[in-house]
Amino acid sequence: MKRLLSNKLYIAIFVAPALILFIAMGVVPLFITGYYGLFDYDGIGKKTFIGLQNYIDLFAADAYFLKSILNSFILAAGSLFVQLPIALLLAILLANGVKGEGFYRTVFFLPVVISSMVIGQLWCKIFNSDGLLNAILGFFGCTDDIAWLVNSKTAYMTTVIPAVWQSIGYHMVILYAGVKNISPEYYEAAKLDGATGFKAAMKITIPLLMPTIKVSATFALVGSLRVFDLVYVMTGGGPNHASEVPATLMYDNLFVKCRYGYGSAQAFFIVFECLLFSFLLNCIFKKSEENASAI
Amino acid sequence: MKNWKKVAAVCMSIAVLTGVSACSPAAKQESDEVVLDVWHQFTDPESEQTKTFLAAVDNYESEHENIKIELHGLDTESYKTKISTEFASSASGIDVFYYWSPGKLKQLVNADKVLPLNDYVTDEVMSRVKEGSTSAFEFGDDLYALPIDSYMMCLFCNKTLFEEAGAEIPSTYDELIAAGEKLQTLDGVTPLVIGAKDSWLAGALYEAVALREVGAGEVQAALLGETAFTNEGFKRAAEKVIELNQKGIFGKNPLEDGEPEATADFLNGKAAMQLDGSWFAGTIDNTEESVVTDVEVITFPVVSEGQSRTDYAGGASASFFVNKNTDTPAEAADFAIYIAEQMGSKALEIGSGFPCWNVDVDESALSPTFVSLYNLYNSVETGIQNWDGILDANATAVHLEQAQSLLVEGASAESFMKAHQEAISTQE
Repeated sequence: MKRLLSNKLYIAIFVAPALILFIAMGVVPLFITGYYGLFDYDGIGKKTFIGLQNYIDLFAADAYFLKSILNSFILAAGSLFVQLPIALLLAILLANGVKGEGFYRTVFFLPVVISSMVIGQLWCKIFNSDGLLNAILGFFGCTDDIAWLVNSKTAYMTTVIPAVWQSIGYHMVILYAGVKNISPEYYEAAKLDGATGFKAAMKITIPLLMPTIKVSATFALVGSLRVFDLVYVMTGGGPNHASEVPATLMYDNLFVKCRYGYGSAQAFFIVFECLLFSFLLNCIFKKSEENASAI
Repeated sequence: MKNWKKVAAVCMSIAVLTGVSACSPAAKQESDEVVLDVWHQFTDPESEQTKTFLAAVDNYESEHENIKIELHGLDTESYKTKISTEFASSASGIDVFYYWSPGKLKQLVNADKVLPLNDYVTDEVMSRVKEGSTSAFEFGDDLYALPIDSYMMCLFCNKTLFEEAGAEIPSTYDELIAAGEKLQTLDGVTPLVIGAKDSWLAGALYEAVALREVGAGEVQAALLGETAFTNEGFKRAAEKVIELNQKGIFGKNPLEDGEPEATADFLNGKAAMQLDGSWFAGTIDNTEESVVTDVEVITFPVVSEGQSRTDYAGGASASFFVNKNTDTPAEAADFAIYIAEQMGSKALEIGSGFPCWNVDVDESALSPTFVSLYNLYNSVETGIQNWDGILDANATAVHLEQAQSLLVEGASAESFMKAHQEAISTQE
């Protein structure tokens, strides 16, 4: 077996199917998208080469694109600083043998299984002016029926809340598996040194969980930067573009406004942005990961 | 090696047999069968239009034994996206498709994706089409489709609620405001529901007011770029929509509900007026659960006393077209013409619109709301389609999102005008 694996031809043969698929389905379309971004193209007629003009227009001439990036950063912040800590807390609590562990795990994971379309509709009913939220506020004496979904000041937050809520279970399961993977010997040793409960979580669980936290953080960050479904279902980017994210603008340009070249430039930017932030996150977590593996 | 020979022998045998069978009479007969891939948006099984469409397809298949129709249906919004994507590539799986003209079709015609039907439309067929109803489907000397039916945007008024509120059916803008204020006093009743979450309805609202402010001719000229979009009437129309919204005529939050919710409100007696197309008459008369019994149909109120009411929003706009890349142009064209005529001829009967084909109208067979609508249609003269049927894709998107923006807090007629001027001036 060892001889087999040291032969480069065999390695190439084994790697080739997956590599070819990855290149054909991932890398090539990415570069084709980037290439289309160099054209003034309506998706059906003739293409006119305009160099980097579309990419420049993203930042110089588009009244909504920068705002949409800012919106995606708000969601990213919500995911990293609200969603992940809650997921981590739940994961640690459940992994420490809470009664009904399996039941709670299923309940927290349930929103992940439900389609975003359904989640969107559900939260629309909550945020509608005659919805649940206003009914609760009305109970406490606030009788202004606020139209959360169509008010430009609140519309985007109505999409951030369900987006953060929906994926808590997803990250909880990843982190839960990570916590379960930590050898009990560490806790036994820590117990002898007097570290239990919160202290053990801070000194043992979280440092050893850093590689898993990095994975979760990457998924959360990238997922936020390219968010589409919930925003599209709940507000469609409105009112008056107040809740746009880069992917809703991209969809609009590609399929509604028939600005295929410009939409492709936006799509390419989203991929580039995701890769860049994944790289930055890797750099940030590098030290903690090294510490974890040193243990 | 022996095994390889066996495998090769079996493969050769299969190839020979396949080749022979392909030349057999049975296979020849099979290859004569023409399969037409037809793309459409008639997916609501309850809709009379869908039933008529499917019945016509069945009839066509039974009249043409060698032709099989493969249907590909999606709801309207998904359909628009999907068919654009198909035409962005080869669209090889499309022979006949439902589409909107002239605005949206122009892009496909410019890209040489649509088959002109000049060679397939005979004089005999043209003699059955109403005169002047093909103009939306003509580009240069080419005719790309035959029309199905015409539509008309109207205000449907629940007379019972008007009587309860002591309000008059409005014929001018001021009367609309006065009626709206009275209707607001009824508990749980919205004076005029738009369904503006569906952007085309927000657009239709603005377009109805703009039509009254500047007239059909000026609207057409501005949208086609023949004149600049600077007429003060367009701005006044935007200001009027903002004013109506601020006065609560459209309810508290008109952008929260789309057409289905607006329709439900109207049919449940929770809305006194609804702005919608002529097809809504069929919905009113065919919905058994409806509590609405007395409906008056009017065109949108004029903005000043004595103004002409003969301009209307509507016309023939959608039909079936043939993909230029089809392998069977003659069969596809024949089907496109057939289905347009079949659906058009039934338009009055099912209450979907006004036929663009010469058919005898038996008013006794029409639904009561549609009779009222038909009389109204006979009183108008100059129709102009909804703007999304005239503007190109980008300008349409800008127009519709700007029309929605008139219904939010802090709406501005100035920014509405600026966005329109930019989008319309950059149309090809």
